[in-house]
Amino acid sequence: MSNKAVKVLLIEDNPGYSRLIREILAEAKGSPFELECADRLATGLACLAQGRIDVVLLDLGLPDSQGLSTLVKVQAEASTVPVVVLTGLDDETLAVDAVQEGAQDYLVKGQVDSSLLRHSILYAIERKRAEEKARQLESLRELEQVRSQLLANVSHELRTPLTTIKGYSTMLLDYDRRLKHDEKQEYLSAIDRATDRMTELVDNLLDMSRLEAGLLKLEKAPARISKLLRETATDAQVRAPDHQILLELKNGLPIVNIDARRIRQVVDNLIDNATKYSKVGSTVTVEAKSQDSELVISVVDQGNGIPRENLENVFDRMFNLEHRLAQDPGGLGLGLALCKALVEAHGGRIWVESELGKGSSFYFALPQEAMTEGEAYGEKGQQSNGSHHRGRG
Amino acid sequence: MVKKGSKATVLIIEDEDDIRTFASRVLELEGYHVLQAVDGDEGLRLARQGGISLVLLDLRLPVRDGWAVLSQMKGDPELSSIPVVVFTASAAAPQRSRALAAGVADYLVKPLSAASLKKSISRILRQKRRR
Repeated sequence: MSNKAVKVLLIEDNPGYSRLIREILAEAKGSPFELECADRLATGLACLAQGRIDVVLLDLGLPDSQGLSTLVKVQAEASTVPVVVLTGLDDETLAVDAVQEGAQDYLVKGQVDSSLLRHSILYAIERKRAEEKARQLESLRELEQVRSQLLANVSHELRTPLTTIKGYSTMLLDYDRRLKHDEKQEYLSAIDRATDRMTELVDNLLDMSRLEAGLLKLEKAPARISKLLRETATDAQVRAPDHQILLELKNGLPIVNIDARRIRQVVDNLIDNATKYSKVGSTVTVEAKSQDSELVISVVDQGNGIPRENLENVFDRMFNLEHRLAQDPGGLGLGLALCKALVEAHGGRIWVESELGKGSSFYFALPQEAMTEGEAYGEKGQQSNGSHHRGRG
Repeated sequence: MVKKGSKATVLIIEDEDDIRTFASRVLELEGYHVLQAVDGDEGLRLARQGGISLVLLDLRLPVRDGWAVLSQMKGDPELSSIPVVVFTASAAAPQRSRALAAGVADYLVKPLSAASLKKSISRILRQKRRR
């Protein structure tokens, strides 16, 4: 702190008392203080919003806010700025409550002199600083735990396809003459699949970390969602020949401004999950409709469903790492976490509804653009009268 | 090598199809009789039917995990003398110590070559015959 002026914001509606505080602060020895005054909470919050305030002296009873909620609003605006509450003689219990609520200190009006005020302000700043440091340390520790758990799981998940590759390749080398051609082909395909699985794992992991670091740039362009979904469903049908993938597109779907490759990745992931967790022969329905200025896309399966207690957690990366949803997760459980991150990067939201024994419905909603279909590019020469048309899908 | 007519039976409990097929095929090529289970419950059921010389056990399994299978086997006088070889993707030292303390005969970390798998199984079965 040394010789830099301490910026104090006084939020106090009584002009006489404000003047008194100004005088007391001017008397204070040592560090210089710079005082700003606000006679209403709203003015005070506006001042806080500009930053630069080191400490707040706060009267809890203001024309536009009374009691503890005054403190709560100040903390909501500037959670890292220490607050010293000013209170009347008869209000000391409220002041104690305020300290419990996170105020650093309280001062009883009429009992304040310059050395007490100075001490209280400087102490509040230092104490808040120490608290912030402890909080940061704690969250770093948590992050470290998440990281080491993730690392353990990544290593575990990479070892599974590696085992297939190492096992089958050494078997092919050691027993070459005793293995029939068909069997060798089968092992070579298993090795091929295992490398795909590893690639997918690595890709998901990189995407996730780029997203978390804010390094994944979306390449947004106006796109026609019906075309995207038709292509996605057609390809998914090839990947899951034993499921029936049904596409239901409502009329007059809006144009959306999206990174088509990323949204495809989301739909791919949801469809693959649906086929993975439902029986062969069952139907997976992909639907898109426009609803309340959002485009809502759903992927509905007829699988086992997700237990109620797990519903909230399926998009949570750590949860999926620890509670693998099925016998063959084929990944880090990063898929749904990645879907969530990608949808949210588009300003959308994702959620799930599920009933045990009946199946799960995954939804995501993207904000609609104020555009007509004709404006989407890459669609030249196609009709733009709003009617939907079934493609080859 | 195991002599003809005295084929040892190895029970493999592993949920990953490719890995189970790999282990089964290698052991079959080495002359063992192999039984396969995809989860802990099925594994225990097969073990209780008798005639098993050795269990190759994955730890992360659906329904009943490998640790539960291990403690059930060690607590069951009928099964406690069957050597268990753990075959896991977890290389962590605490896991390994815990498994050895629980009485496993060997702790194999994935990935593993066909030769290393073969060596471990034949060594454990040799030790068992000597006892």
